[in-house]
Amino acid sequence: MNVRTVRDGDEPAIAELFNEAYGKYGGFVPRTAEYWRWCCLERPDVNSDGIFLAYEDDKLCGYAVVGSSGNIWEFCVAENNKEAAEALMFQALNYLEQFGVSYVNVSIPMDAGYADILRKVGFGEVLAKEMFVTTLSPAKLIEALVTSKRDFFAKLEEDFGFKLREVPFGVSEEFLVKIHEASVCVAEGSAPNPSVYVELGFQDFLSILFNHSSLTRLFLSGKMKVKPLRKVSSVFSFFSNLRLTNSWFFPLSDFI
Amino acid sequence: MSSPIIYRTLREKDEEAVKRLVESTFLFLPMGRFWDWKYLRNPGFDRSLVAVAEEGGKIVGCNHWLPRKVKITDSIVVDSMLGANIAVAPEYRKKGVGRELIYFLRSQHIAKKPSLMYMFTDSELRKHFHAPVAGYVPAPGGTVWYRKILNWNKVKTSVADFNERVKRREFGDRLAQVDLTIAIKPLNTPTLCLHLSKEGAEIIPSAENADVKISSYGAVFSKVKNGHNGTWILIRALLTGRLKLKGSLRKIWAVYRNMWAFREILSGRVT
Repeated sequence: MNVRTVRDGDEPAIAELFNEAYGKYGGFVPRTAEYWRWCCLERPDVNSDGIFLAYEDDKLCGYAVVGSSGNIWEFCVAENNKEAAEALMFQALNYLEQFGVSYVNVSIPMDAGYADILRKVGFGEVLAKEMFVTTLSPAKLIEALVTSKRDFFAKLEEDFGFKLREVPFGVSEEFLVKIHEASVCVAEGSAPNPSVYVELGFQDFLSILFNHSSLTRLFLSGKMKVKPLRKVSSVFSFFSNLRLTNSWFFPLSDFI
Repeated sequence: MSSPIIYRTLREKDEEAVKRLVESTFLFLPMGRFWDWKYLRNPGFDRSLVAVAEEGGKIVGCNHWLPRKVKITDSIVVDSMLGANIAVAPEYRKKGVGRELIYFLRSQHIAKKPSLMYMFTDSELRKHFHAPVAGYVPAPGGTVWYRKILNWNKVKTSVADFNERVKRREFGDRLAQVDLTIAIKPLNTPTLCLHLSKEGAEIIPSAENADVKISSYGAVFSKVKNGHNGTWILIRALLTGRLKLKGSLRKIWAVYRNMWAFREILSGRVT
């Protein structure tokens, strides 16, 4: 394992490693060389001698962006490579000694295989800021999610009319989703004659999509109304197929 | 009569005032350089996505949106907006300025309507401000923050604050009978030794004469410090050996009884 500091021209390989290492997660800004340069290299507390790259057989297998404020803005290793994680953390802690900071912060995915390395060197989990989401256009959000589920929607024939209660300022209350012969059309506004009418609170709608609320509970508690009632199964399968089930990870560099 | 507050988009001449407001609100940010980097030098920066609240020529609030592409599933990337720094001058807080700043940007960009907006904050602020105003809900979980403490310099400030509160008798007689020295040693971290008495708390340089010595993994220490189901975490950590206590039973009991004081000191910005 070789570790060296960043050089001009490393950016594309770093961005590629980041996108590959966190490929299964949502919740972050996919890296391009330009974005990474601004986000890490030009960050006020980062110098190029605080960005460490780990190589195994000349292949980049991890990197750490260490800020003099004590934040490890990005800590990324390929395939949970523990050896790379250990080498990079050693460099990071060594580097930070000169700044006399009181703490070191880092964020990693909940299921990262190298978390035990962090605990071993004295890191502990802390409560921190969380990520929250909303939308200004429920229709656009649904449209984005539908695109990846074309296969599922080929089996469904419905005109859904959605009405959201307690919408925040600037958000349309109604939208429709027309699914016919494998084509899906999503638009803002009310559906003239929907085959299924669904009414629920704005935050409940988001909580379903972001996998925090149970569809069954919302329906049984009367928070989600479906007309006609016999179409409940269509509504359940619609939402079940759209809801986001993957974990979301954001590095500290996306937070500030 | 004071002038009405006007809400409008950012102009070049506002930048210094906005920068000062943001950096004096978010004290953890590197002063002087942060705003320029995050906004002016950001490849996606757009002045029309920054709202300011102005009263009689003075900037009293600001709200920033940053356009970003965000991955929401393993295959879907959407155009989104980061609801970034909202700052309101202290004397204008709790008067609806923050809410109006959010409404202003929403009304200005009603046609763009990003499919996703996201932000980072704590649960309490989300519950009382961001959820009612903009409908924010928690994003899917999956991120864990870790912290390693390198030294306890900032505890000095927490101790001084605590002692001020003791002087003001905020805690009544709760410390009247206390005379206790505790040494806290999270794994691979310098030891913190605190003496607690009726006068307040004091950092002791040496842990040698501590009544109770506590050693633990950093994670256990963080959880106990943050007070999540404290008793159960303590018991579980003790039974599994992740938390070790040394001292007489009487003194250990005294530590448990005065845990509130240690939490008061350590739950602030200790690092």
